[in-house]
Amino acid sequence: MADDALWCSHVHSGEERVNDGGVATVSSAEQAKVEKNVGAMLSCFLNIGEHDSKEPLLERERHIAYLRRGLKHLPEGFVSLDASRPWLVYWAVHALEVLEARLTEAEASAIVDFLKHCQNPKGGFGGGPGQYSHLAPTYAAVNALVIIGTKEAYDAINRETLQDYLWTVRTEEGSFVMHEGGEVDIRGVYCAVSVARLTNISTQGLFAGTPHWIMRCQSYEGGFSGAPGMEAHGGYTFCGLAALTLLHAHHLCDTPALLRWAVNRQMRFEGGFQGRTNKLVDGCYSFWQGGLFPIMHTLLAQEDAQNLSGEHWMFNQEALQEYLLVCCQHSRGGLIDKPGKGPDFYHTCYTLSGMSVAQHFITTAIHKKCIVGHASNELIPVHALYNVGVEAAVMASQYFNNLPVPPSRPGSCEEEGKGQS
Amino acid sequence: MGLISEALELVYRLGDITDHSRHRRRWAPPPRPRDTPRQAPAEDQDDGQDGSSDGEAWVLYRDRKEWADVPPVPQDDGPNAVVKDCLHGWLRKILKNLASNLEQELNFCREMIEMNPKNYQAPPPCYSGVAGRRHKELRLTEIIFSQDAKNYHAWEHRQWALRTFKLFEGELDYVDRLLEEDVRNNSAWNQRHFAITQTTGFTAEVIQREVGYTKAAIAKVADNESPWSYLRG
Repeated sequence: MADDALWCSHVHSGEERVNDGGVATVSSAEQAKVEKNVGAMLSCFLNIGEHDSKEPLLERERHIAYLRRGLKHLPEGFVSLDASRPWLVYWAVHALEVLEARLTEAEASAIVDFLKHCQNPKGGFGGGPGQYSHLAPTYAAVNALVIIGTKEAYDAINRETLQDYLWTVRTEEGSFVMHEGGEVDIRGVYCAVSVARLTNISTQGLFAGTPHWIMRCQSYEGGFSGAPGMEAHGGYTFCGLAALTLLHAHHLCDTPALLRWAVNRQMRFEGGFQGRTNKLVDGCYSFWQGGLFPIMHTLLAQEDAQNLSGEHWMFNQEALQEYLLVCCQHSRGGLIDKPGKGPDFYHTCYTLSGMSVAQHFITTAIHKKCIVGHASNELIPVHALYNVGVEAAVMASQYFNNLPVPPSRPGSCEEEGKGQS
Repeated sequence: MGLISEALELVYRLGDITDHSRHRRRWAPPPRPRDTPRQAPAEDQDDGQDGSSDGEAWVLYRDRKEWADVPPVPQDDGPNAVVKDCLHGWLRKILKNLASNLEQELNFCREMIEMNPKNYQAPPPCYSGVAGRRHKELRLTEIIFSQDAKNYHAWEHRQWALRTFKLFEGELDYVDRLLEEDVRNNSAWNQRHFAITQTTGFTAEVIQREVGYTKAAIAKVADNESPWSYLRG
């Protein structure tokens, strides 16, 4: 691959570095530090390329080994205090899925069994066996089971009690708390909508008023916040847009404003995404922010297909991949936030998910690949709304859509006419 | 004082932190509602450094029975995940604890002055009674902002406190101060928008004033997205 084909070799000249205009503040100082670190890594990479190939390489086997090592320990120790083990399972299982590393039957069964122990009799999944249900581990558990994709995995989800559980964390106005007694949060909405749609347990009443609550979270900046009034933020924006889309209410979104905010989140020097205006790049936003573009593309195509590209998303797909490949792979295996940070399952999952989005431009009619570096860097495409593999999402939909939606139980909120907007 | 460093530790651990190297100590969750022994630290760690709490006479919150009902703080989720849900409960517990002992309150104030002298233009208000208690909620967020001016969960808590106790008076001045320190602080710009929306609203007069304010900020640093977004908003 020729030297100038790499985006980072252009930007390395320094024109895109932060220029504090003589007024240095904490924000600009922090940004300059990160640019220095990233610049050093780019230099190193570009210089090595003088003698060797300049193709960035995804260290697949190293990351797979890292993930497998971590997954091995998870089913042990049922008596853990860790409140987020379904998350760890999902992050690892999804990362392996994206890397096309198959779980053995034994591994898959062990995980299904573990997640079954996290499910509560009254519905939903807790952070560990015996822990109270919480929407985040519920989302993670359902996604992990969908990725595993066996009948045993699908049937592990108790759809009836899950539906009951969603009613218990729904508020009257249509928002969701993460757990009983918790605060309302747009993540709760996304987790609830995602699991309901994937497992086909959604009813009209369950999400009545929800789209309008989500719209209260679109801030003046164009992105979405965790709760009305708060600052626009990548993670919450993904949750808001994905939930709106899954609820077929995306027409409510001010998509041009969102698009403007989102494109400005890609860092002009680093190539990765930041989570909020004037904050630092972080590998995980590769998905939270990067994943917005396939969704927005679909929404905008319904209004104005002519002005949309038929080849790429509205962000620099090459730049993002270069940031991840050159700066975010840890030597021990796993991927990271930014140079200087350690690897963890969370960042490994979302960097790879974001990389997949950047590699695959997919619409109903087209699939155009954009693989930076070695051809073996190619990952499987992910479903932008759920963040599981496209194939896994399709198979799960086929399975669950053939099952009837659980009827509202006698005495449930829907039957009693509650939960209306 | 263990209380302050634990409060800050908690927020660092929970919030959207820009510099992880600042919090070396691991935060250990309190006992869960059902009795189970602790697990060994999970594999994924930021940088392999794993400081443990030093041997203070101070009794850590995780060992106190009265904290047992507060859900545990997960160790290796990503930023802004499950941990966030615990913050409100924790912050209120911290403040309840402060209120229960006046001497502790005064020590707390003294420590804060010693830790952050530049944040105290005048003697701190007297934290007594209902009004004092409400101000404590805001005060705690201000302490956090002095270390991390963009901490998302602290801003959420501040917005909750302002809305709940209707304490908007002086909020624009506070935002002003933060923007004086860092005109690029987008959280502060957002807070400006929030405070105005919740009080006067964007009347023609207010808009004119804000346009002037924003133009001055742009004149100070033109290459700063925050005021431009604010103008458009």
